[in-house]
Amino acid sequence: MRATAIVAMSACILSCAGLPRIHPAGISDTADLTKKIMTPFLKGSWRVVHSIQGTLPGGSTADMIGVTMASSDTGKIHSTLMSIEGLVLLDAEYETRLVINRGIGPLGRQDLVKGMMRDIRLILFAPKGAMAEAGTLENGNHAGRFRTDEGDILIIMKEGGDIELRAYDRSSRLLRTVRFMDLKPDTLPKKIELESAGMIGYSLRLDLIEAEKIR
Amino acid sequence: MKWKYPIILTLSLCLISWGDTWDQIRKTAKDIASIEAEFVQKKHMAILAKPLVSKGTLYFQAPRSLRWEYTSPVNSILLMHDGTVTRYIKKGDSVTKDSSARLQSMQIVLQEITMWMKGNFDANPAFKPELRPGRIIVLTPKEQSMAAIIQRIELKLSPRPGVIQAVRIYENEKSYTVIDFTNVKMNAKIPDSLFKSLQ
Repeated sequence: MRATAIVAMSACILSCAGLPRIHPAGISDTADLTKKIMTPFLKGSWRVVHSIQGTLPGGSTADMIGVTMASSDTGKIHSTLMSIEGLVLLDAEYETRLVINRGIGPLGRQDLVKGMMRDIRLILFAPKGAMAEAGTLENGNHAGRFRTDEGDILIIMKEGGDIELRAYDRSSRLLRTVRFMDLKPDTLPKKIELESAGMIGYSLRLDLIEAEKIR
Repeated sequence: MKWKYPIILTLSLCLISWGDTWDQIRKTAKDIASIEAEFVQKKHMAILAKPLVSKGTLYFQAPRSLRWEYTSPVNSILLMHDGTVTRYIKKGDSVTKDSSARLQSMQIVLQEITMWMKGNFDANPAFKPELRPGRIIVLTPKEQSMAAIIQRIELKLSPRPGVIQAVRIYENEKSYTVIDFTNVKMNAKIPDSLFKSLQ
Protein backbone atom coordinates (compact mmCIF):
# COMPACT_ATOMS: atom_id res chain seq x y z
CA MET A 1 0.00 0.00 0.00
CA ARG A 2 2.81 2.34 1.01
CA ALA A 3 4.86 1.36 -2.00
CA THR A 4 1.93 2.10 -4.32
CA ALA A 5 1.52 5.51 -2.75
CA ILE A 6 5.23 6.26 -3.18
CA VAL A 7 5.12 5.18 -6.83
CA ALA A 8 2.00 7.28 -7.42
CA MET A 9 3.59 10.30 -5.73
CA SER A 10 6.82 9.87 -7.70
CA ALA A 11 4.84 9.67 -10.94
CA CYS A 12 2.99 12.84 -10.00
CA ILE A 13 6.22 14.65 -9.13
CA LEU A 14 7.83 13.53 -12.40
CA SER A 15 4.88 14.51 -14.56
CA CYS A 16 4.25 17.80 -12.79
CA ALA A 17 7.94 18.63 -13.19
CA GLY A 18 7.32 18.62 -16.96
CA LEU A 19 5.40 21.89 -17.05
CA PRO A 20 7.56 24.78 -15.88
CA ARG A 21 6.12 27.42 -13.61
CA ILE A 22 5.25 30.80 -15.06
CA HIS A 23 5.67 33.85 -12.83
CA PRO A 24 3.08 36.48 -13.70
CA ALA A 25 5.53 39.27 -12.91
CA GLY A 26 7.65 40.78 -15.63
CA ILE A 27 4.97 41.12 -18.27
CA SER A 28 3.67 44.63 -18.70
CA ASP A 29 1.79 44.05 -21.90
CA THR A 30 0.10 40.64 -22.30
CA ALA A 31 -1.40 41.62 -25.65
CA ASP A 32 2.09 42.32 -27.00
CA LEU A 33 3.36 38.94 -25.77
CA THR A 34 0.35 37.18 -27.32
CA LYS A 35 1.12 38.86 -30.65
CA LYS A 36 4.79 37.88 -30.47
CA ILE A 37 4.21 34.23 -29.62
CA MET A 38 1.73 33.94 -32.50
CA THR A 39 4.45 34.96 -35.02
CA PRO A 40 5.32 31.44 -36.28
CA PHE A 41 1.77 30.35 -37.03
CA LEU A 42 -0.31 30.62 -40.21
CA LYS A 43 -2.79 33.43 -40.53
CA GLY A 44 -5.31 32.61 -43.25
CA SER A 45 -4.71 30.09 -46.05
CA TRP A 46 -1.21 29.19 -47.20
CA ARG A 47 0.59 26.77 -49.47
CA VAL A 48 3.99 25.84 -48.04
CA VAL A 49 6.78 23.67 -49.40
CA HIS A 50 9.42 22.30 -47.03
CA SER A 51 12.37 20.00 -47.31
CA ILE A 52 11.99 17.59 -44.41
CA GLN A 53 14.63 15.52 -42.73
CA GLY A 54 13.32 12.92 -40.34
CA THR A 55 15.48 11.14 -37.79
CA LEU A 56 13.86 7.93 -36.70
CA PRO A 57 14.37 5.81 -33.58
CA GLY A 58 17.74 4.14 -34.00
CA GLY A 59 19.22 7.17 -35.72
CA SER A 60 18.34 6.39 -39.33
CA THR A 61 17.38 9.41 -41.42
CA ALA A 62 15.00 10.02 -44.32
CA ASP A 63 14.75 13.08 -46.53
CA MET A 64 11.58 14.19 -48.26
CA ILE A 65 9.74 17.19 -49.65
CA GLY A 66 6.43 18.19 -48.09
CA VAL A 67 3.76 20.33 -49.72
CA THR A 68 0.93 21.49 -47.47
CA MET A 69 -2.11 23.64 -48.06
CA ALA A 70 -3.62 24.76 -44.79
CA SER A 71 -6.14 27.27 -43.54
CA SER A 72 -6.11 28.63 -40.02
CA ASP A 73 -9.71 29.80 -40.58
CA THR A 74 -11.16 26.35 -41.29
CA GLY A 75 -8.45 24.14 -39.79
CA LYS A 76 -8.29 22.20 -43.05
CA ILE A 77 -5.00 20.57 -44.01
CA HIS A 78 -4.09 18.99 -47.35
CA SER A 79 -0.62 17.52 -47.20
CA THR A 80 1.62 15.58 -49.55
CA LEU A 81 4.97 13.98 -48.89
CA MET A 82 7.21 13.04 -51.75
CA SER A 83 10.69 11.71 -52.29
CA ILE A 84 13.28 14.18 -53.58
CA GLU A 85 12.95 12.41 -56.93
CA GLY A 86 9.28 13.38 -57.00
CA LEU A 87 7.49 10.14 -56.13
CA VAL A 88 4.43 10.98 -54.01
CA LEU A 89 4.46 8.78 -50.92
CA LEU A 90 1.50 10.37 -49.15
CA ASP A 91 -1.44 12.56 -50.12
CA ALA A 92 -3.85 13.12 -47.26
CA GLU A 93 -6.49 15.62 -46.18
CA TYR A 94 -7.82 16.44 -42.75
CA GLU A 95 -10.70 18.65 -41.76
CA THR A 96 -13.21 16.82 -39.64
CA ARG A 97 -11.79 13.41 -40.52
CA LEU A 98 -8.71 11.98 -42.16
CA VAL A 99 -8.83 11.03 -45.85
CA ILE A 100 -5.77 9.30 -47.32
CA ASN A 101 -5.88 9.80 -51.08
CA ARG A 102 -2.58 7.98 -51.58
CA GLY A 103 -0.33 6.29 -49.07
CA ILE A 104 2.57 4.06 -50.00
CA GLY A 105 3.74 1.39 -47.54
CA PRO A 106 3.41 2.48 -43.90
CA LEU A 107 2.07 5.87 -45.04
CA GLY A 108 -1.18 4.13 -45.90
CA ARG A 109 -1.80 3.51 -42.19
CA GLN A 110 -4.49 5.72 -40.62
CA ASP A 111 -2.88 5.81 -37.15
CA LEU A 112 0.51 6.85 -38.49
CA VAL A 113 -0.92 9.54 -40.77
CA LYS A 114 -3.19 10.82 -37.99
CA GLY A 115 -0.09 11.31 -35.85
CA MET A 116 1.60 13.16 -38.72
CA MET A 117 -1.42 15.41 -39.12
CA ARG A 118 -1.29 16.20 -35.39
CA ASP A 119 2.35 17.24 -35.79
CA ILE A 120 1.48 19.41 -38.81
CA ARG A 121 -1.31 21.12 -36.86
CA LEU A 122 1.07 21.78 -33.98
CA ILE A 123 3.64 23.33 -36.34
CA LEU A 124 1.26 25.40 -38.48
CA PHE A 125 -1.69 26.44 -36.31
CA ALA A 126 -1.74 28.62 -33.23
CA PRO A 127 -3.15 26.87 -30.15
CA LYS A 128 -6.91 27.18 -29.85
CA GLY A 129 -8.45 29.34 -27.17
CA ALA A 130 -7.21 32.18 -25.04
CA MET A 131 -3.90 32.26 -23.22
CA ALA A 132 -4.48 30.85 -19.73
CA GLU A 133 -1.31 32.23 -18.23
CA ALA A 134 1.43 34.65 -19.27
CA GLY A 135 4.64 35.68 -17.55
CA THR A 136 8.27 34.82 -17.07
CA LEU A 137 10.00 31.47 -16.58
CA GLU A 138 12.74 30.86 -14.00
CA ASN A 139 15.39 31.61 -16.64
CA GLY A 140 13.81 34.96 -17.49
CA ASN A 141 12.28 33.95 -20.83
CA HIS A 142 8.79 35.26 -21.50
CA ALA A 143 6.18 32.54 -21.97
CA GLY A 144 2.49 31.94 -22.43
CA ARG A 145 0.45 28.85 -21.64
CA PHE A 146 -2.66 27.67 -23.46
CA ARG A 147 -5.01 25.02 -22.12
CA THR A 148 -6.52 22.80 -24.83
CA ASP A 149 -8.70 19.67 -24.77
CA GLU A 150 -5.58 17.51 -25.29
CA GLY A 151 -3.43 19.22 -22.68
CA ASP A 152 -1.26 22.31 -22.23
CA ILE A 153 0.72 24.21 -24.84
CA LEU A 154 3.56 26.34 -23.57
CA ILE A 155 5.13 28.88 -25.92
CA ILE A 156 8.44 30.40 -24.93
CA MET A 157 10.23 33.42 -26.38
CA LYS A 158 13.86 32.32 -26.43
CA GLU A 159 16.87 34.57 -26.31
CA GLY A 160 18.03 35.35 -29.83
CA GLY A 161 14.49 35.51 -31.22
CA ASP A 162 13.62 31.83 -31.62
CA ILE A 163 10.28 30.61 -30.33
CA GLU A 164 9.78 27.25 -28.66
CA LEU A 165 6.52 25.38 -28.32
CA ARG A 166 6.09 22.57 -25.83
CA ALA A 167 3.04 20.34 -25.98
CA TYR A 168 2.02 18.43 -22.85
CA ASP A 169 -0.68 15.85 -22.32
CA ARG A 170 -3.36 16.24 -19.62
CA SER A 171 -0.94 14.73 -17.07
CA SER A 172 1.59 17.46 -17.93
CA ARG A 173 3.90 14.96 -19.60
CA LEU A 174 5.94 16.51 -22.38
CA LEU A 175 4.92 15.11 -25.78
CA ARG A 176 6.48 17.40 -28.39
CA THR A 177 8.95 20.27 -28.54
CA VAL A 178 8.87 22.50 -31.63
CA ARG A 179 11.52 25.16 -32.27
CA PHE A 180 10.74 27.93 -34.74
CA MET A 181 13.88 29.58 -36.03
CA ASP A 182 14.86 32.34 -38.42
CA LEU A 183 11.67 34.29 -37.79
CA LYS A 184 10.78 37.56 -39.45
CA PRO A 185 7.57 39.57 -39.14
CA ASP A 186 4.80 38.65 -41.62
CA THR A 187 6.69 35.65 -42.97
CA LEU A 188 6.78 32.02 -41.97
CA PRO A 189 9.72 30.52 -40.05
CA LYS A 190 12.57 29.45 -42.32
CA LYS A 191 13.51 26.53 -40.09
CA ILE A 192 11.43 24.38 -37.76
CA GLU A 193 12.55 21.47 -35.60
CA LEU A 194 10.14 19.07 -33.98
CA GLU A 195 11.16 16.53 -31.40
CA SER A 196 8.87 13.89 -29.97
CA ALA A 197 9.48 12.77 -26.41
CA GLY A 198 9.33 9.19 -25.22
CA MET A 199 10.98 5.83 -25.73
CA ILE A 200 10.46 5.77 -29.49
CA GLY A 201 11.08 9.43 -30.11
CA TYR A 202 11.77 10.91 -33.51
CA SER A 203 12.70 14.32 -34.79
CA LEU A 204 11.87 16.36 -37.87
CA ARG A 205 13.73 19.27 -39.35
CA LEU A 206 11.82 21.41 -41.83
CA ASP A 207 13.45 23.98 -44.10
CA LEU A 208 11.11 26.32 -45.93
CA ILE A 209 11.45 26.19 -49.73
CA GLU A 210 8.37 28.20 -50.77
CA ALA A 211 5.43 29.86 -49.06
CA GLU A 212 2.46 31.37 -50.82
CA LYS A 213 -0.58 33.00 -49.29
CA ILE A 214 -3.77 31.79 -50.97
CA ARG A 215 -6.46 34.38 -51.49
CA MET B 1 8.61 2.70 -113.05
CA LYS B 2 11.16 0.14 -111.85
CA TRP B 3 13.78 2.84 -111.16
CA LYS B 4 11.50 4.35 -108.53
CA TYR B 5 11.63 1.36 -106.16
CA PRO B 6 15.33 1.59 -105.22
CA ILE B 7 14.87 5.30 -104.54
CA ILE B 8 11.81 4.69 -102.36
CA LEU B 9 13.65 1.91 -100.54
CA THR B 10 16.70 4.14 -99.95
CA LEU B 11 14.48 6.98 -98.74
CA SER B 12 12.64 4.63 -96.38
CA LEU B 13 15.89 3.39 -94.89
CA CYS B 14 17.01 6.97 -94.35
CA LEU B 15 13.76 7.75 -92.56
CA ILE B 16 14.26 4.90 -90.11
CA SER B 17 16.27 6.81 -87.54
CA TRP B 18 17.69 5.44 -84.29
CA GLY B 19 14.45 5.57 -82.37
CA ASP B 20 12.12 3.88 -84.82
CA THR B 21 12.83 0.24 -84.02
CA TRP B 22 14.01 -1.64 -80.93
CA ASP B 23 16.96 -3.01 -82.92
CA GLN B 24 18.06 0.47 -83.95
CA ILE B 25 17.79 1.71 -80.37
CA ARG B 26 19.83 -1.15 -78.96
CA LYS B 27 22.42 -0.91 -81.72
CA THR B 28 22.91 2.83 -81.18
CA ALA B 29 22.95 2.60 -77.38
CA LYS B 30 25.53 -0.20 -77.50
CA ASP B 31 28.26 2.34 -78.20
CA ILE B 32 27.42 4.53 -75.19
CA ALA B 33 30.18 4.39 -72.60
CA SER B 34 29.20 7.47 -70.60
CA ILE B 35 26.67 10.28 -70.43
CA GLU B 36 26.77 13.60 -68.63
CA ALA B 37 23.69 15.82 -68.72
CA GLU B 38 21.96 18.59 -66.85
CA PHE B 39 18.33 18.08 -65.94
CA VAL B 40 15.30 20.07 -64.87
CA GLN B 41 12.63 18.14 -62.97
CA LYS B 42 9.12 19.54 -62.78
CA LYS B 43 6.68 17.98 -60.37
CA HIS B 44 3.04 18.57 -61.28
CA MET B 45 0.35 17.98 -58.64
CA ALA B 46 -3.17 19.22 -58.05
CA ILE B 47 -2.06 20.75 -54.74
CA LEU B 48 0.51 22.95 -56.51
CA ALA B 49 -0.43 26.12 -58.41
CA LYS B 50 2.78 25.84 -60.41
CA PRO B 51 5.15 22.89 -60.78
CA LEU B 52 7.84 22.36 -58.19
CA VAL B 53 11.13 22.71 -60.04
CA SER B 54 14.29 20.82 -59.12
CA LYS B 55 17.58 21.02 -60.99
CA GLY B 56 20.64 18.89 -61.16
CA THR B 57 23.20 16.88 -63.09
CA LEU B 58 23.31 13.26 -64.15
CA TYR B 59 26.44 11.20 -64.77
CA PHE B 60 26.27 7.69 -66.17
CA GLN B 61 29.04 5.29 -66.90
CA ALA B 62 28.49 1.88 -68.49
CA PRO B 63 27.66 -0.66 -67.35
CA ARG B 64 25.90 0.43 -64.15
CA SER B 65 27.40 3.50 -62.46
CA LEU B 66 25.21 6.51 -61.87
CA ARG B 67 25.43 9.82 -60.07
CA TRP B 68 22.07 11.61 -59.81
CA GLU B 69 22.75 14.97 -58.23
CA TYR B 70 20.18 17.63 -57.32
CA THR B 71 21.53 21.12 -56.81
CA SER B 72 18.20 22.79 -55.96
CA PRO B 73 15.96 23.14 -54.03
CA VAL B 74 17.52 20.31 -52.01
CA ASN B 75 21.15 19.41 -52.49
CA SER B 76 20.97 15.64 -52.74
CA ILE B 77 23.44 13.22 -54.30
CA LEU B 78 22.54 9.65 -55.15
CA LEU B 79 25.44 7.41 -56.00
CA MET B 80 25.10 4.00 -57.55
CA HIS B 81 28.21 1.93 -58.03
CA ASP B 82 28.92 -1.80 -57.82
CA GLY B 83 25.24 -2.47 -57.08
CA THR B 84 24.98 -0.27 -53.99
CA VAL B 85 23.04 2.96 -53.69
CA THR B 86 23.93 5.75 -51.28
CA ARG B 87 22.24 9.09 -50.87
CA TYR B 88 23.79 12.13 -49.23
CA ILE B 89 22.00 15.32 -48.31
CA LYS B 90 23.99 18.53 -48.03
CA LYS B 91 22.65 21.36 -45.88
CA GLY B 92 25.06 24.22 -45.51
CA ASP B 93 28.30 22.68 -44.32
CA SER B 94 26.73 19.50 -42.98
CA VAL B 95 26.33 16.26 -44.92
CA THR B 96 24.05 13.44 -43.82
CA LYS B 97 23.70 9.97 -45.25
CA ASP B 98 20.12 8.91 -45.96
CA SER B 99 19.67 5.44 -44.54
CA SER B 100 15.94 5.00 -45.10
CA ALA B 101 14.40 1.83 -46.47
CA ARG B 102 13.22 3.85 -49.47
CA LEU B 103 16.74 3.65 -50.84
CA GLN B 104 16.12 0.00 -51.66
CA SER B 105 13.28 1.02 -53.97
CA MET B 106 15.51 3.80 -55.31
CA GLN B 107 18.06 1.15 -56.21
CA ILE B 108 15.45 -0.49 -58.43
CA VAL B 109 14.65 2.84 -60.11
CA LEU B 110 18.32 3.65 -60.65
CA GLN B 111 19.01 0.23 -62.10
CA GLU B 112 16.13 0.91 -64.47
CA ILE B 113 17.69 4.21 -65.54
CA THR B 114 21.05 2.57 -66.23
CA MET B 115 19.21 0.03 -68.40
CA TRP B 116 17.54 2.84 -70.34
CA MET B 117 20.88 4.52 -70.90
CA LYS B 118 22.04 1.33 -72.60
CA GLY B 119 18.90 1.05 -74.70
CA ASN B 120 17.44 -1.85 -72.69
CA PHE B 121 13.86 -0.77 -72.22
CA ASP B 122 12.46 -4.27 -71.96
CA ALA B 123 14.88 -5.58 -69.33
CA ASN B 124 12.49 -5.06 -66.40
CA PRO B 125 9.80 -7.77 -66.34
CA ALA B 126 7.55 -5.51 -64.25
CA PHE B 127 6.92 -3.17 -67.21
CA LYS B 128 5.60 -3.74 -70.72
CA PRO B 129 7.53 -1.55 -73.20
CA GLU B 130 5.87 -0.07 -76.26
CA LEU B 131 7.60 1.93 -78.98
CA ARG B 132 5.34 4.66 -80.35
CA PRO B 133 5.81 6.93 -83.39
CA GLY B 134 7.82 10.05 -82.68
CA ARG B 135 10.53 8.19 -80.73
CA ILE B 136 8.37 7.71 -77.65
CA ILE B 137 8.72 4.69 -75.42
CA VAL B 138 5.89 3.92 -73.01
CA LEU B 139 6.49 1.57 -70.10
CA THR B 140 3.31 0.26 -68.50
CA PRO B 141 3.32 -1.78 -65.28
CA LYS B 142 2.19 -5.36 -65.71
CA GLU B 143 1.11 -5.82 -62.11
CA GLN B 144 -1.71 -3.90 -60.42
CA SER B 145 0.42 -3.39 -57.31
CA MET B 146 3.03 -1.47 -59.34
CA ALA B 147 0.33 0.40 -61.31
CA ALA B 148 -1.00 1.75 -58.01
CA ILE B 149 2.36 3.49 -57.53
CA ILE B 150 3.34 4.35 -61.12
CA GLN B 151 0.67 4.42 -63.80
CA ARG B 152 3.14 4.64 -66.70
CA ILE B 153 6.52 6.02 -67.74
CA GLU B 154 7.03 7.83 -71.03
CA LEU B 155 10.50 8.32 -72.45
CA LYS B 156 11.05 10.73 -75.31
CA LEU B 157 14.15 9.94 -77.32
CA SER B 158 16.11 12.83 -78.79
CA PRO B 159 16.70 13.09 -82.54
CA ARG B 160 20.37 12.82 -81.53
CA PRO B 161 21.18 9.10 -81.51
CA GLY B 162 21.57 7.55 -78.09
CA VAL B 163 20.11 10.45 -76.16
CA ILE B 164 16.98 10.44 -73.97
CA GLN B 165 15.42 13.89 -74.20
CA ALA B 166 12.78 13.66 -71.48
CA VAL B 167 11.16 11.26 -69.01
CA ARG B 168 7.58 11.57 -67.76
CA ILE B 169 6.58 9.49 -64.77
CA TYR B 170 2.83 9.40 -64.20
CA GLU B 171 1.38 8.50 -60.83
CA ASN B 172 -1.96 9.55 -62.25
CA GLU B 173 -3.10 12.15 -64.78
CA LYS B 174 -2.89 14.96 -62.17
CA SER B 175 0.32 13.91 -60.48
CA TYR B 176 3.35 13.42 -62.69
CA THR B 177 7.03 14.26 -62.94
CA VAL B 178 8.72 15.58 -66.08
CA ILE B 179 12.51 15.41 -66.33
CA ASP B 180 14.11 17.23 -69.27
CA PHE B 181 17.74 16.60 -70.10
CA THR B 182 19.97 19.26 -71.67
CA ASN B 183 23.66 19.80 -72.49
CA VAL B 184 24.12 16.09 -73.02
CA LYS B 185 27.73 15.01 -73.40
CA MET B 186 28.32 11.49 -74.61
CA ASN B 187 31.33 9.26 -74.14
CA ALA B 188 33.34 11.92 -72.35
CA LYS B 189 35.81 10.70 -69.73
CA ILE B 190 34.17 10.71 -66.28
CA PRO B 191 36.41 9.86 -63.33
CA ASP B 192 35.35 6.72 -61.41
CA SER B 193 35.63 8.62 -58.14
CA LEU B 194 32.55 10.66 -59.09
CA PHE B 195 30.41 7.53 -58.61
CA LYS B 196 32.05 6.51 -55.34
CA SER B 197 32.24 9.67 -53.27
CA LEU B 198 30.70 13.11 -52.87
CA GLN B 199 33.69 15.01 -54.39
